[in-house]
Amino acid sequence: MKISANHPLAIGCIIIFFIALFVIFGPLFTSYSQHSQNLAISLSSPSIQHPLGTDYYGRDVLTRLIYGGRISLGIAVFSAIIAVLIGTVLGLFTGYYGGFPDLIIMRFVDVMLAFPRLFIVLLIIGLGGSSIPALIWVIALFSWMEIARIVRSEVMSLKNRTYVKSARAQGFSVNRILFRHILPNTINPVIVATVLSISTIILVESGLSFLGLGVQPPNASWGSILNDAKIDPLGTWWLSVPAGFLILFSVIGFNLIADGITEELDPRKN
Amino acid sequence: MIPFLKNSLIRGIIRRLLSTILTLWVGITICFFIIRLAPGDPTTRFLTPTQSTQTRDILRTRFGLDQPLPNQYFHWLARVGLHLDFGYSFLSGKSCASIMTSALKPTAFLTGTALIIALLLGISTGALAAINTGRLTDRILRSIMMVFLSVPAFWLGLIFIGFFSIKLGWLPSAQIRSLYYDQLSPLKQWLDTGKHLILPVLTLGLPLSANIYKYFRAEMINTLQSDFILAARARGINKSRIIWQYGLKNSLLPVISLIGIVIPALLSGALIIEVLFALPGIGRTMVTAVFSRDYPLIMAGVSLSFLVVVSCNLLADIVCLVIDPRAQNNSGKII
Amino acid sequence: MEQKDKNRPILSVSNLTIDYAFYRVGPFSAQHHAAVENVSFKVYPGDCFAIVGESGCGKTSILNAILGFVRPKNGAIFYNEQNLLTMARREFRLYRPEIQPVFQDFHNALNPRFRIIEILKESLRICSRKDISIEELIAVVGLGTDILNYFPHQLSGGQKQRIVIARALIPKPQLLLLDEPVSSLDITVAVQIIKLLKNLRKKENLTFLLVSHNLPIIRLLANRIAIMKNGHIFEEKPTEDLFETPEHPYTRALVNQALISCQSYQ
Repeated sequence: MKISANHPLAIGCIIIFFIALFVIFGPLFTSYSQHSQNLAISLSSPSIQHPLGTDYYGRDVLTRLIYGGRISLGIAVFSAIIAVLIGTVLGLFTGYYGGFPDLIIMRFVDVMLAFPRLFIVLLIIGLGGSSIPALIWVIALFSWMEIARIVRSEVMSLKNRTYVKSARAQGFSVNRILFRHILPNTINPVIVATVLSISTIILVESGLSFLGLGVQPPNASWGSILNDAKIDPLGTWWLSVPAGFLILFSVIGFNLIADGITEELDPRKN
Repeated sequence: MIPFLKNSLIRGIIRRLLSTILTLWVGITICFFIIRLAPGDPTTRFLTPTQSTQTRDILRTRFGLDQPLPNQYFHWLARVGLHLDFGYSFLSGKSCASIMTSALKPTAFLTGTALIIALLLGISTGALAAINTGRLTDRILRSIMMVFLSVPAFWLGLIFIGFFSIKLGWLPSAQIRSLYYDQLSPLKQWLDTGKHLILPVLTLGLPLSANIYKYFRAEMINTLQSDFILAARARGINKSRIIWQYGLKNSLLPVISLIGIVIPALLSGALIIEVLFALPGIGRTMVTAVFSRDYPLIMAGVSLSFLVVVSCNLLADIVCLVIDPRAQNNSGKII
Repeated sequence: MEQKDKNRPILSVSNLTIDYAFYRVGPFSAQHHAAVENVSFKVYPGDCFAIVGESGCGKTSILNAILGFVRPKNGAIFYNEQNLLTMARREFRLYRPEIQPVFQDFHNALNPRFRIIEILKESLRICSRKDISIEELIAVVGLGTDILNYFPHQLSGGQKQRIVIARALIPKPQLLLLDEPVSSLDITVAVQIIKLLKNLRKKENLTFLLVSHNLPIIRLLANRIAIMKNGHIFEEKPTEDLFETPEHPYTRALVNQALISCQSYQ
């Protein structure tokens, strides 16, 4: 694999690398706590003490962007992992066994796909109360369907491959066939779908937090920081622009990685 | 139905219709129980701490919340199924149906226009990129569309508001009509509404157009590489004719099923944009209803949006079925 | 083994009917298509029994039914006088090692993610064979140790098919089901594989059930041939009888065609 020749993958990885550096090592470079308020300097524009200014409560925006990024990206990554696990397991078993359970589960997938996702997540979070674990679980529970479909169709074609039939004829256990011979061969599309779902989940979470239903104060996420910029988006540009760009670039980064991997796996290329 | 349409086509349509109704019922039922099983009590909102629990009980009886949950469900289902009666909002006391009808108009306007703009923009740029694969046009479009694909719509809206409304003062940033709307002539009323909708439509349409662009570009490249195109080229049919007659036509069909798929995303997007631009549409009504636990109104909104989604899917399926003879012989799904 | 009585069939298929249901939307609107109808035949120990027919005539479905991949609608499959179709899953597992398949599609017969050595080692471990080393095993199918560290895509078709045969031998099968074992190979390679199979049958005391559309190749290997068309078997004879006195017009056409191609091979 020549990664250097694959621009989307390389650029995407670089973007995500820098954003990861920013949220992981950021706290080493700021002396503020994300929660410490100082109403005397409410909404002050960027200065040497506060490189990205302060918000309504006089909290340092840069610090909040760093900690908010941990929450935004953390929710996205954990949700995506849970969604991938659910989707993979369901896709694996429905694809392999087929029959009536498969029919029922796939109809259920159709129903789930017909929900406007933000709508229904908002409904549950809004009624049930918001917390970071709740966000992770609820978003994950409404994000696994695509992956289940992808895995299922892969498994359906793989289970008729002769190596699977030979393995069955030699009495390999179902678990061994599923997890050692079928699952590893579905991994490529699953990786692409995982990366893509991270980027869509970042957008869903930021949307919820922007509406005030996502991450709750005093914690910050990139979306909730944007909520503060609602009154005068360009006047308080240090609230709107950096948070917006962080969301934009993380999503671009993950999308580019997914594009790059797809391109890398394209049979026409080899 | 036109008589020469085959039996299998009608059977296909009926089968899809039945499975759509099933989907609708299952989806709405799931929502009903999600909403009711969530913690919290809608009567809390009407009570002050000094009032007794008796008042609460009276309210609960009036709202029908004292019944066991399954009873409430069947009661609700029967009323909606038989009389299309969604009950009355806890909060305002108005009928949910009338609230939803008045909220439907801005949402339909917003999503409809956004979808049309997104389709026009997405298909034209997608075709342009597919024809020029690998060249400068393609690469520039790819970068622009990558930004639109990744941008959070509400942030785009925020920047638009900041720039066009606050800084330049060209366009209004909130509401669907001006305060003096009633005094305007009918033509001016249209213009006024249009002016209010420009920013929301762009905010919703641009990210969606990037989705359609990406899909259409891939579809068109695929079509242009297929054997019948190569054969047409070998026959010496000129290039622009091939692109328009063969390439575009054959790539448009999958777009129909794509529309069915993007409708949920469109409604999700409309929700956040209606809140941002303070449009009195379904999304905003729903957000308010969720905050006040206005169960009948939430259920009416959920049912309505679910109905829109599944009927769009059904419509897309049927159109594909009628246009594409291949879809008729296969099992239920097209995708 | 005492079960290897020459007069008792090792495999006996009787009145086998297999049909496939095409589900449309629900489980209630299935359409049926019979792939195999009322097929009966017997395979005796040491035989090489061949089923000949054009593609789609249902011959592979029979193999799939014997292997338990397809549940037939009617009929019985006796292996050493035990009905494979009525026995419990647990009991069926005991018989699995004794019946091993070799398929036509060798490109997909080896998991592309494993090296050859890993594929064989896994089978050896699961079939708990400790009496044979991998080197001995691949020597049996005429391969050298150099290919052990290759991935399947680095091997030629003939090498892959030899590995598939080696793997099929691991559980010490009594009966080998060969589904078009050489049809996708070049003719020279095909002849080598046929020779290998012939030797193996003698050396390992194997019984073959062979399925193919290629009568000339079958003639080299089989001692009994059944002709199948549209899900039915309508003629079954020892090989030489079939070539000398074909009864059915379809058989006659096949035999004439085969004789012409045999001449062209020579």
